[in-house]
Amino acid sequence: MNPDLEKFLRETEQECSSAPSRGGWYSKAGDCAFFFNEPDASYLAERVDGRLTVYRSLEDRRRIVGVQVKGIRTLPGHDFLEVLVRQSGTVDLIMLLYGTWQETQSDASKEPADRAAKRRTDYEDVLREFSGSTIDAKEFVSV
Amino acid sequence: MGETDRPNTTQNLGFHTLEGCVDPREPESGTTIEIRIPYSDVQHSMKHNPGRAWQLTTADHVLREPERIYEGVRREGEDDRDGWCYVGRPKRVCLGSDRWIPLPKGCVYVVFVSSRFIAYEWRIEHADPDDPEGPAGCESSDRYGRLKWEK
Repeated sequence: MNPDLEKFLRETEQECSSAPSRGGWYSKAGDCAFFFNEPDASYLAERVDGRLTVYRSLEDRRRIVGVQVKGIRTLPGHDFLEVLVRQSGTVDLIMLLYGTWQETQSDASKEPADRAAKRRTDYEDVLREFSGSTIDAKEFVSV
Repeated sequence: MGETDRPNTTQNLGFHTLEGCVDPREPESGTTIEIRIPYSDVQHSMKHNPGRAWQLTTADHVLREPERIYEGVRREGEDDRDGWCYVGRPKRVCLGSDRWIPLPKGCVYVVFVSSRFIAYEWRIEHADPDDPEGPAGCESSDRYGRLKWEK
């Protein structure tokens, strides 16, 4: 293990004194939002489409424990989203997914039927699992 | 030595620097570069999935010893592609200071790096069934611009 990195991680872990909890954040560097429902879960990533990646539990791969939503700055309706964010103080994950679904649907006719069906199922699973999940708007105001 | 530029403002503008990473612009040359990790991303990961934060040690390994580098990561809604995806098959993945798991069978480890040499995502993915050294869908133009280099 890289000793400098290990030291950095140990220090960062100590700074986060509270127990890990479900929640999400916006990564400016990646222009993407992350949300984890299960803070202790080990997972593997499955790319659903160009906007959405789901994290599935390694213990039970049917279970979605987290998501990554990409390309926040170019989401359809981004301006409207910004207004909502400023008013409500939070970003509803479902609003982000609505944007990604809208856009990726425009390419859906080019997809093989089985892939389109899988994508739809993944979106439905994410909507069910992450309903009511929000990210603090402070994370997004500089977007 | 890697360095941490810890932020002293609420904007969390600091980075941790990983040294000795393969230069994705000329991987065949043996040149190494620094790749930065946003401190805020690590801090958020520690709060919401510490295993993700600790996986940085695996990401660091893959950035130093990749098996492949893809160029031009596709972003939906943008015509331009930029950045790189480093791919490796480490024997094990770090999930905590003393917690490791074997890389699951049929999987690869990927690290996404922006054109500004900032790593923003690192994770286990399924390998491609037709090309087990690459991540699922690696040959699709939906995903990457091109395979830049392989070991």
